[in-house]
Amino acid sequence: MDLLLIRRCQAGDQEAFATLFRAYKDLVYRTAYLLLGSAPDAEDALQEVFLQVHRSLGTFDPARGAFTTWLHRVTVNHCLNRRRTRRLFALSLDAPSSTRPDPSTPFPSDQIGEEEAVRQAWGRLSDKLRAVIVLRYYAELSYAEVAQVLDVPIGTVKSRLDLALRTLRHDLAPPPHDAPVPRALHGREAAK
Amino acid sequence: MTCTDVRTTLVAYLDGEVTPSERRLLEAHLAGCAECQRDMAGLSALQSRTSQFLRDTAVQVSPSPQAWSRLQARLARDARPLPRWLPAWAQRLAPRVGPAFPLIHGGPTMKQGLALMAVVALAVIFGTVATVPPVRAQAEDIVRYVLRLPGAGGWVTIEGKNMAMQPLVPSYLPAGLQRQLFSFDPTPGSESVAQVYHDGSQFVAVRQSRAPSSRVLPTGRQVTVNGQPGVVISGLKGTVDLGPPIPEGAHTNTFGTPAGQSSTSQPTRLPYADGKQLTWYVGETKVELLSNLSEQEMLGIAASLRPSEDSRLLQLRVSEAANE
Repeated sequence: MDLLLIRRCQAGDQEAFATLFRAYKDLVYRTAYLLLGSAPDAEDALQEVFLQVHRSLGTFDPARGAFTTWLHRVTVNHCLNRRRTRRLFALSLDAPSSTRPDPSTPFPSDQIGEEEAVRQAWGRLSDKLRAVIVLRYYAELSYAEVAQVLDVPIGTVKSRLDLALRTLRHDLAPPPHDAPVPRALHGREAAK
Repeated sequence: MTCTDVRTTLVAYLDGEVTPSERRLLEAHLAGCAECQRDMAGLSALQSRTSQFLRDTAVQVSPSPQAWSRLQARLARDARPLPRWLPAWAQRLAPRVGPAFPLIHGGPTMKQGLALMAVVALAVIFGTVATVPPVRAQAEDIVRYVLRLPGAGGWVTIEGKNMAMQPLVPSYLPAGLQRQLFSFDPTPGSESVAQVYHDGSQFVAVRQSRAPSSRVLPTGRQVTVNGQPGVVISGLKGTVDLGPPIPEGAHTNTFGTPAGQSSTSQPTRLPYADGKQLTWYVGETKVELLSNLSEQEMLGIAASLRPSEDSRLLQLRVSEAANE
């Protein structure tokens, strides 16, 4: 990232901020879409993330990491907070229980197509496991960068990635009876 | 290295994230263990499949062309001076509460998020005393607020602004229904307000949130609410969380649980069958009603929703007893 552009933004140059928005809107929007699972939510996240960026760009210190790492952190924090507060909301009007998929139902992957199978398995992954997967296998950040974004030790990144992949594999192709079952599935996060 | 050690390291190995010594040990084990080789091959294929799925999914979506103009409007609104009617304490706080929540190099930390969760979960706020005279909230006004609620180890304080959503309250309710919960999610950009009224068996829950840009309605039976199109979905089953009981003191001049009282009461849950959900839009607000009342009653309640002029719902008093 052009540090000059960042410095211009930090100095209050609105034209520079518009350039920054154009350069990174897809990154923020698509990351939010993968984490939140809906286009309207991703659209809102795009607005909120860039509002936060505008307000707090002064705290960005290039010596502490790349701008994209910082931007990912703002984005992921927003999305995880949003999911968290939604869960806490006293009501669940968006997803009445009668329409929720039953996570215990065996997944008929042979009937619904591979892409849809992955999509459904992805939808059942917990927020934290989803975040670590997006950061590693979509954003292609290193483990150290993922750890910085999520504010967790690298060991936690390793264990969450391992758990996330094994959970997905378990969902997509139920293992033989003697194979180990992942420690935590659906809606639960890694112990760390 | 045992098979267990190897398997917990395989993902990192495939990602090139192991140390040279770990790599040597792991490769030595793999050379003689067909089962771990199979495990590795499966994980490697899944990594590729997952990456491909994420790329394919992401490339199909893009921000709307209006995204920048919307952001510009929000930035301009942020830059406005504070309304003059705000009390002195709010004016003094202004320089400190620019961001909706304090940002520490990139956003709220997990700890801050958990604090926010605790606050939101306990945000039973109606009946609080305002420190400003009642004002008619204007859509463009910036409302700053300070919430102080009991949290783990003491009081939790959050400060924010832009709680621009004006609560809609019903002027008609079937006899016997009492308000049990009034809560809001102050997350900027995803503000929402929830109210639940019930009599122990029947309930109506009202939720308002910002209208998404798409303004789509769910699939269901089409109705009209005050001239606006709405949709009713019937036959829902579930449980509505009525929230924690309103604590003593919430009706007077504080909110949350007064010091010394327990705030750990379990939320009351009310199971329902044959629930109905009514969804429609009021201006820039999406409104949803969930209820086990008749559809006719729901439509009556929906039509009676009016913006609350009670500023006490938004202007929360700063308690003098900080960190007691």
